[in-house]
Amino acid sequence: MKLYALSVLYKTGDNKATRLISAHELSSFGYFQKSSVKEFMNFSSKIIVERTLASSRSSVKEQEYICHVYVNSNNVGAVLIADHEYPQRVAHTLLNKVIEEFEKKIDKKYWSISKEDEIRLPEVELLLTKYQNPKEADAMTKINADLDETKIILHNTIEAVLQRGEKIDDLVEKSEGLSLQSKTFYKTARKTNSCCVIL
Amino acid sequence: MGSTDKRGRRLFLDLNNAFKRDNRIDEFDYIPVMEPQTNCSPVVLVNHKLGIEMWSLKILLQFAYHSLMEWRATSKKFIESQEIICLSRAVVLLNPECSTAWNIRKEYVESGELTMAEDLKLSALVLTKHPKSSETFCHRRWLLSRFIDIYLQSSQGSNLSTGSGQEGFVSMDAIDLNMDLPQVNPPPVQNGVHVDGPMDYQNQMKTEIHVCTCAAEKYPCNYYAWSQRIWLIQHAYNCSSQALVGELHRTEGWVSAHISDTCGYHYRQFLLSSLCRQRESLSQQLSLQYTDLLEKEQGYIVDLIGTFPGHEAMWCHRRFVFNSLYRHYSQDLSPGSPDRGLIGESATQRQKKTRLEFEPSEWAQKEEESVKTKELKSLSSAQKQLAQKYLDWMRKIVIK
Repeated sequence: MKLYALSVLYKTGDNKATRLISAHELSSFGYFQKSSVKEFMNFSSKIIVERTLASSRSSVKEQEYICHVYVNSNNVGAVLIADHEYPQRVAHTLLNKVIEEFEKKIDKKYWSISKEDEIRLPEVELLLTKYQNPKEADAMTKINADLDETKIILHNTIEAVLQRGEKIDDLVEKSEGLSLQSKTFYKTARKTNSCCVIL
Repeated sequence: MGSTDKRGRRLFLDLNNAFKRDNRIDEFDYIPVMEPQTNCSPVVLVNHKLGIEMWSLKILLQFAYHSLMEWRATSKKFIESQEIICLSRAVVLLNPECSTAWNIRKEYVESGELTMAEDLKLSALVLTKHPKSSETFCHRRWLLSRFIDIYLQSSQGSNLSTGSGQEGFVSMDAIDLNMDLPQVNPPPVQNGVHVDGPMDYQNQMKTEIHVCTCAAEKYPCNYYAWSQRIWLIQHAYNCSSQALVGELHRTEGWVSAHISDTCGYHYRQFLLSSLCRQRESLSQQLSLQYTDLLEKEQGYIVDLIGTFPGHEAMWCHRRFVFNSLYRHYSQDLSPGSPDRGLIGESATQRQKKTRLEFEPSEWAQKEEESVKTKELKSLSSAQKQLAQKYLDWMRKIVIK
């Protein structure tokens, strides 16, 4: 089981989200894929948070990945991208933990004015590493059992999260965060139904 | 055709140059660029990683494949062997299922124009892009068999004289001994055997295990990679109990980190079944009891199931372990079983046996109870379903 990406985002009033912090663990991807995979993970984290209501959590399946997302009542969102083997409960515990850490360490006034990836919080990186082994990480947080798993909304594809009239292909095409190579990567992966790309 | 041919040759030369420039290339991949964008070559070499832009794949493969087939169809003249080796390399990199290309390489290995080390390196590189290519694994098996033969011939007389025959070439360092293996009586194995050939036997086999692990990592449930590993244990280690126990120990971590990969469990099942066949030598040479290993495996899988609910692969493995244990216990009770009165059985072992000398069905009952109180009460519906299936299956196995 693997964790690939963990990021913290802030949702502004107009339903846009800014990614404030992100950490990645992409060593299992090939050298030439890493940058595109990273862009796609950031891209999907963003579109999912933008479409998740405040104080709700969900897990979105997409091919062999699952994006776990939680947006709290302060409009702070966290997304964890993991594989299917990773236990959902532990994933959401980690999301709580990372948001808690973020709200504690970063002053509220920076949330809305900071630019993409501007905030430094090394704890995010550390949490991503520590939680790679859910068994070890879970043992320490077992007391934190107030997580109600039945409240997690499950989506079988990323398309299910999108609003009416939205298409994932269009979003990819329009995205500014994706390089030309990543867009090609996406198209070829779609065509061959290959397993190497997120989305 | 003419222009394609020219571009094909150009690409082919670029590829050859890349291999000439760097002899430590350790990864190969396609780069998603569908149209030539710059005037640079589509063959990219960075950091010992080789990449080819996608638009050029077809042209390169067509050129290499047709040149190679033409050469083979005609009287095999006019082209130097080095050129053919390079052509076949280009073909297998892009299409590793082309057995003709691999066979051409086999011929050159036999004639000595291509070294085995070089070909092992290339096929390992192919596997970084195509981790479940059966032809590539097959070619490696051919190379390794050859390697083993050469090794056995060169070491004849020195090793085979050590009584236990083929076990002689399993050196201790192939096995992690930092496991709970009692060190009291190290088995009769020669340490530090050296191959006279260019490659060291142990290192080669370790590399092969590494190649298999990488391929298994790259592609989940990679049947080919795990079959290769089984083959290796059978042919290079002759299924020695030491190698089997070492592998059992070594794959534990991998399996715990890939809980839904059936191949990992199947590999452990292979190890345990092979160990079952050599229970006697296991207890004599390594002072390990087969039953203990099985019971340990049961604890291991039950623990995994508890931690990660809802994965069928683990439940299948649990069935295997249960079935093996049940059959083993039942056999133990029947008179004249080979296990009775084995020498080297420790006192606790015998105690355990007398404790177990109850009905095996009673033991099965206990397992049933444990599933009913634990997994059947799980919050996850998938886990509950799997537990129920397991119980149903158990009832069919245990004849009361």
